[in-house]
Amino acid sequence: MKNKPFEVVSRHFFLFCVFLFAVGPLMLLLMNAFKPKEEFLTSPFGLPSKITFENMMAAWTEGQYGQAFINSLLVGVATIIIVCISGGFAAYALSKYEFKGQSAIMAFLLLTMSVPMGLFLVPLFYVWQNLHLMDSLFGLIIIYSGIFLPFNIFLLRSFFIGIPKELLESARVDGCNEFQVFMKLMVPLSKPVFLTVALLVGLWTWNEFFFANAFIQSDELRTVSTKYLAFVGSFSSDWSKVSAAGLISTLPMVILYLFLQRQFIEGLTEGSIKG
Amino acid sequence: MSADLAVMKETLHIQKKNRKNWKKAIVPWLFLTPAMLLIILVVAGPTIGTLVLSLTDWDGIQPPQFIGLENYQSLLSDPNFFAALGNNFKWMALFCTVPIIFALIIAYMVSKVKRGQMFYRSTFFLPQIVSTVVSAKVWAWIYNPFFGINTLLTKWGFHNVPMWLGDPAIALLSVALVDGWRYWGFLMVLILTALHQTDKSLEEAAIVEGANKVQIFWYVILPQLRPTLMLILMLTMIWSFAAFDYVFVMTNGGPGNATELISTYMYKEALQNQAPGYASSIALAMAVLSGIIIAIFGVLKKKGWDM
Repeated sequence: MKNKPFEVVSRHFFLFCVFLFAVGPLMLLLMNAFKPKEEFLTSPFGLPSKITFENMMAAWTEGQYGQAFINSLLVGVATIIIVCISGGFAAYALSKYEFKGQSAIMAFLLLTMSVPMGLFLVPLFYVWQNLHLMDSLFGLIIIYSGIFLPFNIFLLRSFFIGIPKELLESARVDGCNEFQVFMKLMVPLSKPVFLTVALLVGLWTWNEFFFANAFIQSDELRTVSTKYLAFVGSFSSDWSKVSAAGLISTLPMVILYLFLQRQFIEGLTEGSIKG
Repeated sequence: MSADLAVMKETLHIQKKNRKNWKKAIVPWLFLTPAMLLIILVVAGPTIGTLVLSLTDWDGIQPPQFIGLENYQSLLSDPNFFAALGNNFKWMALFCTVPIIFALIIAYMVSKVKRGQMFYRSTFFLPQIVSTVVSAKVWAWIYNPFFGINTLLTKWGFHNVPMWLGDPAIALLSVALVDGWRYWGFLMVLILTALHQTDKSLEEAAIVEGANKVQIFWYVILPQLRPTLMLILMLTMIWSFAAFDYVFVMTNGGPGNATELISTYMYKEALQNQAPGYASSIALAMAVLSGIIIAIFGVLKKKGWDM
């Protein structure tokens, strides 16, 4: 098909408008975070006349974002480790073994993956109270692991299936036991999918606020997203500061996304198709 | 004597073999155990708990009282529940049309772009990466009547600017626009991927036959996208029953119950009104509805609607 210049230009113009719609709100966040406070009141939608870091610094210290970043990192890394290990094990069993009850397990995973969170929130709340896991980061890590596991097991499994069985057999002949086969063969061969799992779980734990809000009460244990909610609650009239806090909350993930777009996009879309 | 020995040897061998088989059979279950325990503890166990709790009268403190189906009876005469249910259906009708059609058109346009395709794909997907709490607040500010978009609109000469989140008639639409803003990029990527897998020779043949662009899109491209579109439709319907984030942060169901969804109503009953028993019946009603949708799609699939 030949591309007429008029068509190409009008197509790009139209797509540019869509681009503004998609990114515009985030640009506003960026601009208002670096705009002097007085200017925000006079031209909330205009470009900043000069760039100030005042809002960012104030939001960082007043919002105690340092502690929140540590908490979020801790929760994220721990959840990633648990999901990768236990999810990797489960996906290995589901892709490389044939056993009775396999299809039942698959159906169970599919069900637990599509259960809306409202359906288990209330009992979980009381179970956590009785186990004294309320208001603890460890409790939150366990919740995240349980919720994210089904999706990621499917993601891992769909990758594991592509690894030829003969490779595993030859390792067994060489005297590896089942655990060693997994650690020495499957894991190194599956690095890309483990990276995707780590990114997705990292993204979800960083942005998650529903459970973090319901299960954590202490201010010093808050993760970044709930810290932001608390911050908005106490500085709701100061939009410059709120914008700066919002930017601080999203920047780490956006930067990561800029570097690893393909992994993020393919992980999120392919995972939901296969599930 | 020697015969006995032979039998003994034989049984020993069988025992060994059995043990080996048994060992082999248990290996996959050992690998499954940690993940299963976590999922049962967090998701599956509590879900069954909800099932039981929905049959009780419980304030969260006193021991639950078994009351049979009474919660479901009050559910059927609860105007708030039906208001929320109605909003959920409006939400579903919106999301099953507007973002999907929009994503389809844009994906088709992006697929025709030679240079910069990756750029569009990445930026359209970006709202997915941003925390919903933050984007909800940015949009709430854009909708703010005192310093949001309305200040610009009045400056440009528009009068009677809408009260985006304040007017019960449009509040739900306003919030849905924000969720749609986040959601459509995800659909766009799914459709774009499917578009890349379509058979290019069919398209070329249609051009040779003299088909115009609309005809090509309608008769050649669209049928090839049907499996993807069906999948998207199913995902969207299931997710529209679980929608929560933006309503919770932006309006919390208000004004009145103009934006109340089943999920936000359930949340309020469970944690604010101290009625976890009743909240459980709401949650279950929600799950039954999504179950029905999954079942319908299952039937369609069996009837040969390729998905």
